[in-house]
Amino acid sequence: MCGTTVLRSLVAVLAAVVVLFGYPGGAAAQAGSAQSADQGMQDRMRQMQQQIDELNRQLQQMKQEQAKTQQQVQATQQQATTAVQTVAAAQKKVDAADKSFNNFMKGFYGTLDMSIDGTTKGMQNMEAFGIAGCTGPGGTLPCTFNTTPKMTPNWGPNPFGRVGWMAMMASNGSNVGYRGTHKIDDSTVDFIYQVSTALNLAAAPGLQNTWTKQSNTVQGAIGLGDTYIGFQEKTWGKLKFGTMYMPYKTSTDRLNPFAGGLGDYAVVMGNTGGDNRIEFGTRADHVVLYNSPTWQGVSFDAAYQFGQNPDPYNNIVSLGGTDCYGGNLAGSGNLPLNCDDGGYNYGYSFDIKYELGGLYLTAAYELHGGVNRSSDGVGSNNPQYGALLGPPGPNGCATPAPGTNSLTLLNWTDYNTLCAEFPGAAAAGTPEYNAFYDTANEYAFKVGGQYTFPFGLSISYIWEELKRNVPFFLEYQNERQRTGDWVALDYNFNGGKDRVAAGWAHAGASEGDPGGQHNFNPYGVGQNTANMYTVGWWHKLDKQLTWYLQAADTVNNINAHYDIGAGGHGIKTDCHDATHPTFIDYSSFGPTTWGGCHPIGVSTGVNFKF
Amino acid sequence: MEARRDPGGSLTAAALGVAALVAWPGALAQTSIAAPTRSEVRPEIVITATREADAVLAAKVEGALEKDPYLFTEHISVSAENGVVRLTGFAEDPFEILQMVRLARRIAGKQRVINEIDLIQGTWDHD
Repeated sequence: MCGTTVLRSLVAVLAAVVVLFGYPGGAAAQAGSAQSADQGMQDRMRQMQQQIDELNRQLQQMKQEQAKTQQQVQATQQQATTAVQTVAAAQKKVDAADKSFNNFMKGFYGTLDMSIDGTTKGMQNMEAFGIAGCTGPGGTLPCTFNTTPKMTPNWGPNPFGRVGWMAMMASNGSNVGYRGTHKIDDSTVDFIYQVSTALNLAAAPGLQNTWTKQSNTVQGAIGLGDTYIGFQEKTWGKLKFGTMYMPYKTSTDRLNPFAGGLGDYAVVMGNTGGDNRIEFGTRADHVVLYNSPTWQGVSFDAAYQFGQNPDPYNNIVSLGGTDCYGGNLAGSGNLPLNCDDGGYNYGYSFDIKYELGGLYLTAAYELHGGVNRSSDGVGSNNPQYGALLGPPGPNGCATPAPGTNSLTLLNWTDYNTLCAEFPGAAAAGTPEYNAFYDTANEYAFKVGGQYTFPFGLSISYIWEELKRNVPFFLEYQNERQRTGDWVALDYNFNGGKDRVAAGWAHAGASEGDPGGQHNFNPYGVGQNTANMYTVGWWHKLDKQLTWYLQAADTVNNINAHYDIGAGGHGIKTDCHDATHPTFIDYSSFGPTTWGGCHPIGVSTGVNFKF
Repeated sequence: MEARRDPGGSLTAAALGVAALVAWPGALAQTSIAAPTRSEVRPEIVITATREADAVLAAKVEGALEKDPYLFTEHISVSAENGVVRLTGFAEDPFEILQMVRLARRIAGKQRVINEIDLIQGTWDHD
């Protein structure tokens, strides 16, 4: 552009010079040399004309080049615009991908929780005395005791093993999972899914076989946690299919500040037997679960657990399952390969919830259909069960007691078969109850409430009733029927940084007692109440990391055997000693239970959530 | 954490202005003859204003939850509809949920807060 301007100026100057030199007045004054001067002038003008022509040519050339350059600039600008658009589109795609990736990552969740515990079973100095005999009808009171202590199988008169204070490391409720939603095209319905697994942070993953629990369920495998697929819609709620906690449990989860701790309320609540398994509060397989929306603060949940058990007495593992329903693998009871230690068929569970302001109210019900507990009597110390057994036969095995309904109540067919095949082994045991009579529905009902004050204090209460429908002649061994209470206070303070809680659980007396305790006292039937006291302090280090300190103390009445840690803590401290088999066959003895034990524990650890 | 916002909120100021005009007694008196027109326009204006208020309310609650140094809200969503705040998503600590609801109520003031946060609890105990 600058060059063009200069050329134009030069052309103008040259034109001016031409005009100046061509002025007629100059030529007239130089009359003497007019001819030669004209010739010279013409030559110069010709040269100038040539120069002008040349300059014009260059000017045209430059104009063409300029036009060409402008075209190139326009083309470049067009390319740049296109490039910018392409980059913007790419950026949009990247942003969308980022958002999609972030949403995807947001579906991952988990908890890492590990604690160091110091616990005692509180039964070091216990001593058991055998029952010499009971002279009442059918083996009822009055009874007399032996004067010398009873030996625990193979080991001695007192609880065997380290039953005092012991330090332990526990992985509590650690888990990872993924949860997501998929929008179904042209629909208001979403497909929902969740996969989850429990993690053992303190030991290698494997089967859930501990000294007091034998299970085929694998720790660390996908599905060991609420795992489901389903559908949801805003107006009608959620429908899920999978393995999940039932509504009976989830309805009162928020009333349990000690979940996964030593003082988890499941030590007592929903725990009919007083041991480690939580009959009404365990994750269930093959479940269809419906969660309603919330209407004016009211919502409800309903679940059905498919039975899938071909056995009329639910004595085998349900089809598609790993363990007997109710927990534990087949054979974990007192007879091999059967689900006679609480195996059941179908189950269903409901709850209704109401929440308004700081108030939360709930009621829940759950039923387990056909719970087989026919192993409850085997090896028991209940004299009423003992009265059904006659003197040993020629092969050393027990025989039916004459004059009793032993042949009806006990399963002599299986026992005699076993006795014939393993005479030495069977002699150490006794027959289980006839499954026809000892397979019965068990159900639980509870109401609960919680009020949270604006200043951070929550008060929770649950009342619970547990029932087992056995015939009247088996009520004496019915330890699955009682009431329970739970009270908890939880106070959040220091701007949410700290939380303290205290809880008390009470187990009412059960209807009867199988007498499985090594030191069972027939005078103490009904004296199997228990109280669990617990306190805790949680200190948040940031949004995700919490340090905690908890303590729990379970005070058992003379025939009760409730533990600490049931319901989610990595290691349970219960009333079993360390008695174990000295040789491998069916006469081997499992851990011995001591009624009236006094488990106490302190636990400190960290919990990280993501 | 993500709050649902009203994408069409840019016209709100104008809408509010129109709403104020319509609601003004003088305007009512002047437009009494044109009542059908007013009844056609007004619901739309009210809905727009409500949506904007909902978005603001949800954002306020969401901001307070995020700002709290001890509440883990990664998996929590806040929405508001007709002045009712709804907390959804999931958490693994029931008492943290209680704190979230308590805080949401404090921020929402007189507006109702519905707790629809799922509690996920992982344990080894399995049927």
